[in-house]
Amino acid sequence: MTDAASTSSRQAILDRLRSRPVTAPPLPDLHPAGLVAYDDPLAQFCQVATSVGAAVHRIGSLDEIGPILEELPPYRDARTRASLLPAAVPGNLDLASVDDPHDLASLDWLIAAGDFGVAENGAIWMRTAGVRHRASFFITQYLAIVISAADIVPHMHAAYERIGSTIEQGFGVFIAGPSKTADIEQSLVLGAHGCRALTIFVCGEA
Amino acid sequence: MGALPIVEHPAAAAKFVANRERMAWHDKALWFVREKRDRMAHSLPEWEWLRETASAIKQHTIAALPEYLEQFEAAATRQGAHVHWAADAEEHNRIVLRILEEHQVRRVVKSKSMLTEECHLNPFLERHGIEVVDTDLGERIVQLRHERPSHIVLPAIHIKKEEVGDTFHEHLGTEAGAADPQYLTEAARGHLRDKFLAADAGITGVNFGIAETGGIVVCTNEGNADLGTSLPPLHIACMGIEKLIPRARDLGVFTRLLARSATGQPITTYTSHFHGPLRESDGPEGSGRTSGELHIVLVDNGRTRIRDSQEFRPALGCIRCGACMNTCPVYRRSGGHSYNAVVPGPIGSVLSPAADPAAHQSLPSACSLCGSCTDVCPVRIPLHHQLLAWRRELASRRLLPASKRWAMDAASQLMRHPRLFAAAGWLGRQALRITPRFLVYNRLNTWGRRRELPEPPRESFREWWKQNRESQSHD
Ligand code: SF4
Repeated sequence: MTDAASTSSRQAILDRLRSRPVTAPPLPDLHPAGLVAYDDPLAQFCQVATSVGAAVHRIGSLDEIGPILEELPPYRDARTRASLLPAAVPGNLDLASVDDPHDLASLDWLIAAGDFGVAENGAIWMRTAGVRHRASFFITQYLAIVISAADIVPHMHAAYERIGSTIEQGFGVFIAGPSKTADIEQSLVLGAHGCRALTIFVCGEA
Repeated sequence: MGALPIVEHPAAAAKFVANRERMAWHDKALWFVREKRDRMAHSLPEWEWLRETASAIKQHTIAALPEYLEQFEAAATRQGAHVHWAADAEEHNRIVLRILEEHQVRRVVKSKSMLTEECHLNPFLERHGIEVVDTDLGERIVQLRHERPSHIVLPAIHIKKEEVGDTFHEHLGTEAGAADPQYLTEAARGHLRDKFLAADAGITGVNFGIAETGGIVVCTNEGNADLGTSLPPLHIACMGIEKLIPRARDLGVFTRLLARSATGQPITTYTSHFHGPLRESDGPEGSGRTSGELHIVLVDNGRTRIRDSQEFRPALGCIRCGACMNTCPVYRRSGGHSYNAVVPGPIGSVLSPAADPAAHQSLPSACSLCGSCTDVCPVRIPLHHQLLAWRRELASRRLLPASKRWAMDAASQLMRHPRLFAAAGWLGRQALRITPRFLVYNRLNTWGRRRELPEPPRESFREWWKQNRESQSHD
């Protein structure tokens, strides 16, 4: 869909760049010594995730998720819940049956599985693979993410190492805490456009 | 709101500075952010290694930019994105409009993008009958108030909550006098949800483009970029050509630096990686049904010119974190609008004169050369050296205002003639001692404003040296 003008601008930009050769150092290696190391990466993850606004629960088995959620008023009062872990927590909306993502506007809760957590910043890598509408993750009022305690990497270098070439498979997002803003006088408010609250379940032992 | 009028920084700052209480409040708010950044930086033993590596990656990429751009274009196209090239702001706007018109778009939701501000995209689209809603809360506030962002990360940092309350009362129907940030944010959430659901297209900026994979990365705290690109089927990503990084794993360096430097968070809430357009049931096999289009517009708009300059080339490494603004004593006390430029603060004072030297000649002087910006910049741009270089450059192009030029010419005469220098010094010391206050502290002498001039010494250093040391040094 590129038109003639854009094509000629492409050539003009590339020509202009090539007419001024610039020498620069080679691309640096990314295997540094002395990176931050945590004695207990899982504890670090839980602490930082909490500090960025998430509620973190350590659980022994997936059966514990339901009762913990039932304690939360926004969960008890929720009308529409979708679960991507139906064996552990049943939902009442099948995401695959929704044709138009706009119909997800009334979604109250989404319970999903995360790939892994990052100790240094409390972020969780999420793939939207297999979920019909990517919007589900952002339009839901409340989000719960389940990860395995064994799946914690220390920092972002290790995170990208782990993601590797799977990054090219469509969409992926690091989520750290609930959506937030401080645009009014630097007062932190949780629940900007995405989820109002993020509940993380860390299952099993590290 | 088209091109900004030419106003000198001191004149533009005068209004902000006149309200001392607001100036102090603004100063404090930004210093608070700077302190949060310090705590984050100090928590990582490898902080300096990260800065050094980020700088090296950027320098390398900018040098090999044509190759990386071609690599990016090929990979992004393979992923199913459409790549467009725009030589300048005008072409960028025309490309965006054409894509929107081809899709019969009437309503657009936009997440934060300094590039589209730079191109004045909003007024352009509005003139063509398209509704553009800025969805970042701070940007929405300034949009409703018909203002401009005063900071690249904190667009509404200059506005008080009571003023936001008034604006929302008028436009969103919140209660009169309500100023609670929680309440106001909730009102904006409801208002903007409707906009997201009604939008035909989403426009975003790009924090990083990955040459190797053809992917783009967008960082937000609010989740607005994600909602704006997963509901409507059309996503247009506007990207300066300097946003490229070679490899996906380079993101490890930049995602660790960006939010820590910007707001003192360990990472932004959402760090979203887009490879190709919106797909239903996106899957590892790429099996999902494509349900949208992704258009990436690569924009030059003066960037190749900056790359041509050995001196200013490092400025292209800027990742728009805003740390140099938060730390700048001039920015904190004069406010972002005083720069009359899309990007304010130290980096804005470097980039703006490159775009239009005559219009922005006063900016490199809005700087005390304290060097704090250089100290905090996550990609180690030597900002204060560049500001000094601009002063030299502008002086040699005779673009400084007459008052500065005259004073500098006089100073240069003095420096070159020792006798004249000594005489002028003596005269100055005598004059300052006997001149009545009203002649020193008046509105014509800017150096006498809001400060007491030092008590002039009785003798010059040279006189003192002659009397006390010269004889000894000959012993
Ligand atoms: S110049 Fe450096 S400190 Fe300033 S916004 Fe850019 S990256 Fe941040």
